[in-house]
Amino acid sequence: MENLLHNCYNLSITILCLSNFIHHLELLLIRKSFTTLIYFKESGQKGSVMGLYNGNTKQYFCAVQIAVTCLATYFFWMQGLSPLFKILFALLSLSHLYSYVKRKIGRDGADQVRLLSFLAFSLCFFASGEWLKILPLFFIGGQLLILYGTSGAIKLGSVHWRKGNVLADILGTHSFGNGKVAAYLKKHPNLEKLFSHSAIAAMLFVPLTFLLPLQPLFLLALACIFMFHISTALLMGLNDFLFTIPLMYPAVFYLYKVVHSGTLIL
Amino acid sequence: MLLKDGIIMGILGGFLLLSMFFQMRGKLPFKKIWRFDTYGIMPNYSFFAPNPLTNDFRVVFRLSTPNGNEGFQEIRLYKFKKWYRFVLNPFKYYNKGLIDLCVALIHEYKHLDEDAKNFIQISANYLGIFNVIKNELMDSQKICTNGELEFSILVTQDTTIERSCSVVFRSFKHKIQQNGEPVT
Repeated sequence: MENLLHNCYNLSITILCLSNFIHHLELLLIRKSFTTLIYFKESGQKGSVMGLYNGNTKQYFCAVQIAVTCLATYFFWMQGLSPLFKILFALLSLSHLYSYVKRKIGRDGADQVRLLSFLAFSLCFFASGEWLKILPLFFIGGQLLILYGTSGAIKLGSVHWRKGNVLADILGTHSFGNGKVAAYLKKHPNLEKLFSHSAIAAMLFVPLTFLLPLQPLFLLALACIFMFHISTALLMGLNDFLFTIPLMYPAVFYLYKVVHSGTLIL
Repeated sequence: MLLKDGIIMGILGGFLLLSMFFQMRGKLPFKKIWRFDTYGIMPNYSFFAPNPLTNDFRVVFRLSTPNGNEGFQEIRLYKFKKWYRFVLNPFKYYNKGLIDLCVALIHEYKHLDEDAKNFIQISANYLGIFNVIKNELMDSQKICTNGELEFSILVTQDTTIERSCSVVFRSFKHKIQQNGEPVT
């Protein structure tokens, strides 16, 4: 309880750095011809400041991002919020924003969460005292509640998801699929329905339990949704969510503690 | 709390509120105000809902050379799945990128007037797919500067059975320039 704010902040920053490391490692590993698709040049556009459309330059860009991420994490753990760490982190945020804006296709929710987290942490470097840590945690915690609330509510409102027969079809695709699991679910429609409905329940469980003063229940909700991310990473290859969304868990936990204790925990 | 803390709180709090409204944008008035978000910064948290993607896009292309037509070949879109993709899955960016291009191209084509369908050739998405094919040909060293290239987008369902397959888009035929770019 004593160091709750600092622990949550440190954990959140560390997971964000890990997520950024994996993201750029993946972009570095993609074949050059694939990179030109992701950063493809729109007709009439005259290229970019950093030449991201050029496969080689893009690979240098990713390598630099990886190096800066490692350095920033090292300085953060060794020296805390030192000016050097702040500069490196702000550089990462700006380059991440630039890369995000340039990559108009192939983006997903994890990219958005990572970008917003980078920007929020960097912006709050200008804040004074403990607000530097409290404000980004509040913001990211709030984003998590919107994320699961929206995702769960839209699925609940969807006829396909309510019927409970979408999982086999989603997993039956090459893009996000696993043929064997899809075939198994097709043969067991009740199991498919159970999994579809439990995905919706797990998402809505987080914002609902956030409102209740029952901490174990809230932690259980976070554990359930984390299991959901593990399963989507295993079955669908959505590993980005597995390494990005958990950076919001310490933030939402801190927010939960503040809301239910009625006081800022420093 | 200092003034600068208040300003930062206002910015972050305002963005949180905007994020919340953005999720409900379909049901709120003033939909056009979201056009200011040209770079897609506002987060979209719908994830596979309300209508999840339950089919695959496949891009096939055919190269016609002076020696005759080659058969249709498929872009290698789904051949890079590895067991460790739950930790490291670089290929997802390419996969998602190509899906986004296909979806955007089909959407664009559908919304063009009948007499303006030809203009699809100068669409960024159309040229993007051509670029993918060019890279594919270059990788296999099959690029031909005096041939003609065309492509089609197919939609299939179910990895195991391939129970349905339909053509949803057919490109025009294009001559290939010296640098491998299509003549549009």
